[in-house]
Amino acid sequence: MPETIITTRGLTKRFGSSLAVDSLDLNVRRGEVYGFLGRNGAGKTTTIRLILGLLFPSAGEVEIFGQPVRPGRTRGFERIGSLVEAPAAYENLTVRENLSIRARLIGLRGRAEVDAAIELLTLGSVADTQAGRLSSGAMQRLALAGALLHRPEVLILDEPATALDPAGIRELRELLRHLSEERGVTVFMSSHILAEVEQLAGRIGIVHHGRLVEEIDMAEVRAQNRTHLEVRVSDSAKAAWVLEERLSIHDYQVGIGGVLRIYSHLDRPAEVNRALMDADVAVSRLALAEDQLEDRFLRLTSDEPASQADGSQPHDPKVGD
Amino acid sequence: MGRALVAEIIKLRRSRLTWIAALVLIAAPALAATVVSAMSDPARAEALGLTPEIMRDLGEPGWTMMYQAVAEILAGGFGTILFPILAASLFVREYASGTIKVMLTLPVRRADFVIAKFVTLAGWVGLLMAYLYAISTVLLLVVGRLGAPTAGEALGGALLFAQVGVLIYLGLSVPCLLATFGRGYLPPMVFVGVAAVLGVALAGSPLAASLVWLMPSTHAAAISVGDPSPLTPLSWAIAVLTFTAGAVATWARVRFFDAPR
Repeated sequence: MPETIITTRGLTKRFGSSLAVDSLDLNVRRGEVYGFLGRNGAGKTTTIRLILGLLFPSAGEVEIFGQPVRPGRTRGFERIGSLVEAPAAYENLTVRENLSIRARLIGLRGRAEVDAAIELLTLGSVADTQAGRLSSGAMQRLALAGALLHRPEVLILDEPATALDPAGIRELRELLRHLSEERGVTVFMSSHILAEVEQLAGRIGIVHHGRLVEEIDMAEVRAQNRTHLEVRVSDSAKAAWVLEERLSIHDYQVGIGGVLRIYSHLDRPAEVNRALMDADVAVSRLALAEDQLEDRFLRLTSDEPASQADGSQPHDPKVGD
Repeated sequence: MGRALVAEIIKLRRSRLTWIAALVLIAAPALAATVVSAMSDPARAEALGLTPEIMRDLGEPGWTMMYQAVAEILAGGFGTILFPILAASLFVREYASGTIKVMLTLPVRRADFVIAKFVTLAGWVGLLMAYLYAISTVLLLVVGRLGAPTAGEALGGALLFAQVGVLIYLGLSVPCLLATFGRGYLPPMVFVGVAAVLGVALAGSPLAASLVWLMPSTHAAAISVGDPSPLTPLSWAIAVLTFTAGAVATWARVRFFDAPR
């Protein structure tokens, strides 16, 4: 079992009567990319602030490298790079000056690290531009460059892909993958760009209303992802009736936009198509597909009854009668 | 601490406020030099509205008057308004730009972060006072037609600037503390307003020698009319204690930083 780098035990944070983080137990292992997922307001940023000692926990504890983290304690912080919420920089200073200040505070003396970080995050063209004049994407790159400046062993990133364009998101993904695979950097990142997490993370934790509702390896998620027939029809209510009454299919979901997911009859799409056509239900698409992380995420973080997760509508086979 | 100090100096050097303050503060020696030089030229004095009565009240034009006038302007006007705002800006900009969260996740002790700011502030006030002393000297040499100051005049002026600088500095930890509470300029601005009102209301009263924010002007005003300073050792002790309390409270505020927003 790889060494655990970040541990939280019973981590709880209250703001007045509001419970932002509720008895959170996390374990982030050395060298892994851990995707920390949750809806807006689920407690992701508060958790990251607690991990970085920017907040006092109401209960519970945080350890990084086996050392307890509390506000004001900086032991071990030289091994951590972080990005919390919106990127921050001194707006009247240039990109290079901002990085130089951070480098000095970390204890780096040479310009080499600053130049390397500028190159790594492709900030060369704006290196001498004041931070206040940067685009939001460039500002995000600057913040990431600051986090990577001292070659940390652990990266704690709060929504790192925010404000990046698609090309930037892809570069970030490649960069984090490189850091994890080649340098063994442990990455703990919150995100709501699930496709990115799906491609990058080795393990995920899903938080909802401050509670960890699932912590699972992505390999297991992929193994559990179910293949289904995805059918787009003209009348989903009538299609549901056809599935139940004509084909005796009960394992299906009705989604929005006339899309049905059928988890049986995977080897008999023609039979499904024929039955729907016979009932005058027009089929505009029929294909084999696989569940995405998004499906799992929405199912686990839905406050609606299970059948309505992912925007699915409850189906009533009698409608087609 | 050295690392934090170097970072603070870079930030201060690149801050617009630093240079704006250096420019604005030239107004004090410029005004004093204009008046002092005009006093030795009846035509210019009359043009400036300096009647014989006013000139008699002002005293003998010369280097001592020049240094005392500049010190009084700095202590009274700028000391109570400009310096507290500039001091508060050291903390306000960290909160306003969000860099406080970056700073506090770096391997720098929070005490070092605060001490570096106060040390930088001390150096900055000292440099400003030295700069204004030099500007005062150069200006009066150029426009005053008074010749060079004697060693005694120069030393007396330097000592007065140093005393006023120290007194101004000792009053700056409280606006810094207020800046960390309000995370903006509003609390320090309110403080400046209250200090200004108190300055007017309590000028000349015994209390003026006990409130650190009134001490620079009280001290400079007494010296400029040839009176002994009303500041006693107790006054200095109060000033040092006020500064220390404000600095420790600022450290505690940053040490126990909680970032719910």
